[in-house]
Amino acid sequence: MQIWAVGGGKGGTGKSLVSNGLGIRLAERGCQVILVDADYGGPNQHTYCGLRKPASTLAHFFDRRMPLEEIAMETHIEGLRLIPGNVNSANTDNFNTAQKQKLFRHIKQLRADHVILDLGAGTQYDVLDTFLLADVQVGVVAPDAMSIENFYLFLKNVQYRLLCNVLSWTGLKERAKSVWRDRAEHGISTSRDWIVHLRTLSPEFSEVLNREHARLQPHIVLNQVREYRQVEMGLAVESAVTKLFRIEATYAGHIRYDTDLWQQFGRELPAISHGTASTLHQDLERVTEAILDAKRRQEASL
Amino acid sequence: MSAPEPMSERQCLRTLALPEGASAEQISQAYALLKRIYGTETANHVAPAMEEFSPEARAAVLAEIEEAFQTLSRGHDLTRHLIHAPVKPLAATLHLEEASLKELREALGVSLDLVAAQTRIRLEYLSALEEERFADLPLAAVNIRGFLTAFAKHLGLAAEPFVPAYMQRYQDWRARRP
Ligand SMILES: Nc1ncnc2c1ncn2[C@@H]1O[C@H](COP(=O)(O)OP(=O)(O)O)[C@@H](O)[C@H]1O
Ligand SMILES: [Mg+2]
Repeated sequence: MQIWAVGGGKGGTGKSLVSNGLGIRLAERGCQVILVDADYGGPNQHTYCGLRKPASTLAHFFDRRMPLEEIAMETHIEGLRLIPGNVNSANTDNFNTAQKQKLFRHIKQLRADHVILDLGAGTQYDVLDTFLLADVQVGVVAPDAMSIENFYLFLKNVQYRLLCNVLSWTGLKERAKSVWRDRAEHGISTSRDWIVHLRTLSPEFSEVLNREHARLQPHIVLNQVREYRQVEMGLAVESAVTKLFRIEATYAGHIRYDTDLWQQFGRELPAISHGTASTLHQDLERVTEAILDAKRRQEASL
Repeated sequence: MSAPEPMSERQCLRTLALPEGASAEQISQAYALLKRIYGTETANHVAPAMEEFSPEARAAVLAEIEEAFQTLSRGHDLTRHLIHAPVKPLAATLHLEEASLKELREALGVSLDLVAAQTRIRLEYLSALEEERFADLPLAAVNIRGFLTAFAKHLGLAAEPFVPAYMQRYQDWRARRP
């Protein structure tokens, strides 16, 4: 089974739309897919799926330990099931980090070919950890400066979280803190110098950091493209992430802004469907294939 | 101080984000694209105020790109491909029926003067052609098609579906003319 995590973008860039579209496409390819609405603060997947009243939601998992398999509901699309977010409470994001980490362990036990997590916005630890643990990491950006800037910030947070995790696994956390405190003595001024110094302290740390960092391979999706000139921004983000953040990113392509999408809701049907004249289905198909292709290439090179 | 090691071919290709065995054309395309990304045009949209994007960091990347390209071009005339440069990475994702010639040319970073020099078509015709000011084109349809094809070719665009879509707009305009 492959776990996909969709995150990275600012609110409103289209993480939910992309998660949903990936789920639909993979199901149409004949896979068993489960979508998980892990955007605790703003669950939308049920709406994209055209499902009005989810009988049970993630709240049942957190509060009543209901098994995820029981919560997963059928959608209008064959092969696609949904584990809805907590849609019934005014206090949607009141689960603690330990509970959210437990969720990931349960997700790994699900019976499906693909599980797709809509992570929502934000850079809380559980979001960063889930992104790091996922087999397929998808980052959604819109072609505007604010969205792109937030995406870079998200990746910086992911990288920092990864570093912290590796430091604690290799028992170097306290040492690292003291090195940073006395950085002037060590001639360290940037975080990059700090890491270089830590690498010299422990070959094990260095090795684990390399291994873990190599697993960070986000696929970038550029959503809400209104002008073809914006397409190049996706290539620019891919390049900057690779060259300036040293993260092996790949550009999975763009999705055009569909002016008719808003009319596709509230009909008890999936918002993104094969049947409509929508450009979304076409674009999502191209993006899904690009991610699967890149994934195959990454695996072949390992 | 010893001189830095020259880049290997493999490193050069990696720097330009190309697979091994990339063609001369691919190399030039990738080079032109990266120059735009780390130069000013695209960078203005996508480089935030973060240390990773400092002018020094970008200059270092540009220098690396330049070195990779110069190393790879040794013994080859790669610059002759440059006019076609950025088309490939874009072509897969563009909607050529919808784009205007001017938008395409500008996105490709090609100046109109250069097209005029290379196609030997008068500048004012090219300008009217790309802005679809048909009234300023005192030409027969066959000439328009010919110029258009030459223009598109110099941008590295395939005639289909671009030229037929354009000619359709021209014919529509003619039909509407009193
Ligand atoms: N490609 C698109 N075309 C048209 N509308 C879109 C597109 N992508 C997103 N939207 C709309 O923009 C809004 C935000 O999208 P959403 O997927 O909810 O973003 P996020 O989950 O990142 O907050 C929604 O109203 C959605 O329907
Ligand atoms: Mg959302």
